[in-house]
Amino acid sequence: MRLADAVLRRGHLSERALIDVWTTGIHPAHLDRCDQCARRALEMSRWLENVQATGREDAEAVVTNDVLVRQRDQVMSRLAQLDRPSKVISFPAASPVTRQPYAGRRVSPGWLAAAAAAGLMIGVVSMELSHMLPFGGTSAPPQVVTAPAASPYDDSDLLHNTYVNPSVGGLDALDDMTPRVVDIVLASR
Amino acid sequence: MATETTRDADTRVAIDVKAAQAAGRLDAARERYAELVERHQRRAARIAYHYLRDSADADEAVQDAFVKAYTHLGTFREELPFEVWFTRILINGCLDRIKAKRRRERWIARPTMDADGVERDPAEHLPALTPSPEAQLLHNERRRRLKEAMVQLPERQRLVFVLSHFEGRTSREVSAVTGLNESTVRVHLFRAVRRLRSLLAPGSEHEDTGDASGTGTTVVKGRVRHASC
Ligand SMILES: [Zn+2]
Repeated sequence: MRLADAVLRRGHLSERALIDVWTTGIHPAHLDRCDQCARRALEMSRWLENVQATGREDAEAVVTNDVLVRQRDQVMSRLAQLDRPSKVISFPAASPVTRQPYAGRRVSPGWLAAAAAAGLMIGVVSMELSHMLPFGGTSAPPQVVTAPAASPYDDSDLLHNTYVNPSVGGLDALDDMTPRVVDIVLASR
Repeated sequence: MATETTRDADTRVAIDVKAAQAAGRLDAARERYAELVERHQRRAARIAYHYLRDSADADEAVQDAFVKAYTHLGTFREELPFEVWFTRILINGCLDRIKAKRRRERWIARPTMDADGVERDPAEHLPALTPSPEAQLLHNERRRRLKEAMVQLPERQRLVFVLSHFEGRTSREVSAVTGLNESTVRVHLFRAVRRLRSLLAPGSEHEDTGDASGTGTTVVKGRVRHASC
């Protein structure tokens, strides 16, 4: 018997001791001697049993087999998405587009070669000029930012699965400016 | 908690999944991991539901916990039962959800009120996880009152009560999962019982305004000790 029970409750069991009877199964000797505490212990254990049954029944009503099957399917499909390797954009080997007659203006290969050579010259000259001008050589070297080694699984995807709907909005403008290989091939024919 | 056999089986599966992941045999890893999901899912779903008291939230929390456990299986140490490790992940996820919900509720009116301002059971209007019609019939007054009382318990009392009383775990097992020491677990359990008895006492409905130890506004102070991920 706890000291507090002996001193404060004239030997009767505290509420906590009654709960311990139910949760630990330990049976204080006082219960055999005191009808009042035995009644209290019985009432407490009935209450605890009722609450347990009610709570379990409630959960079982929600956590049905159907729910579990659907949930399991969703978990496995999310894992499959995470495990899917990053998509590599490949150019079509023999796109049907190339076989279709191109209705636009034709550009001769000679002009293409001339344009490429002109671009190269402009690049070389502007690089030389940038070294000669005063602000050219003093600029700080570009900061190289290296991405941390990527884990195959990203935490941020756990709650918000971005694999479902990847967004690359910031790259759209660059994408628009980049010529398509298909266009160049068609133009050169 | 897990019997020795279940624990061994879990560990074996976890090791297999880790090895398959490391070897890039991801289909095999998932197939094996599905065994762990199946074995622990029902219990996880019950805990999350008791704890969050919202079936949709509980569903998401369980899914997230299984996904997180899979992606962090590399950090799982075999000396710990998978069940304990996984339950920590689940509980931490539930705690995060409770915190996020509190933040939302500062700004957004509670969606559980119907047009007449009457509070509804959140499980009622969630088609994916609503109980079957038979179960709904059994969804009686007692269950409603218990759920309402449970949500008024501070998180730790609620967690300890759910694990101890609904899941039948010993104080030692609850201690392993929560990181609280055993005597603290017993204190939380006792306080939870005392509080629930007061909340569920006949005639106490709508009268209880809470006290310092048991209001529903207790801020979640910390997460369950290291989920190893
Ligand atoms: Zn007595």
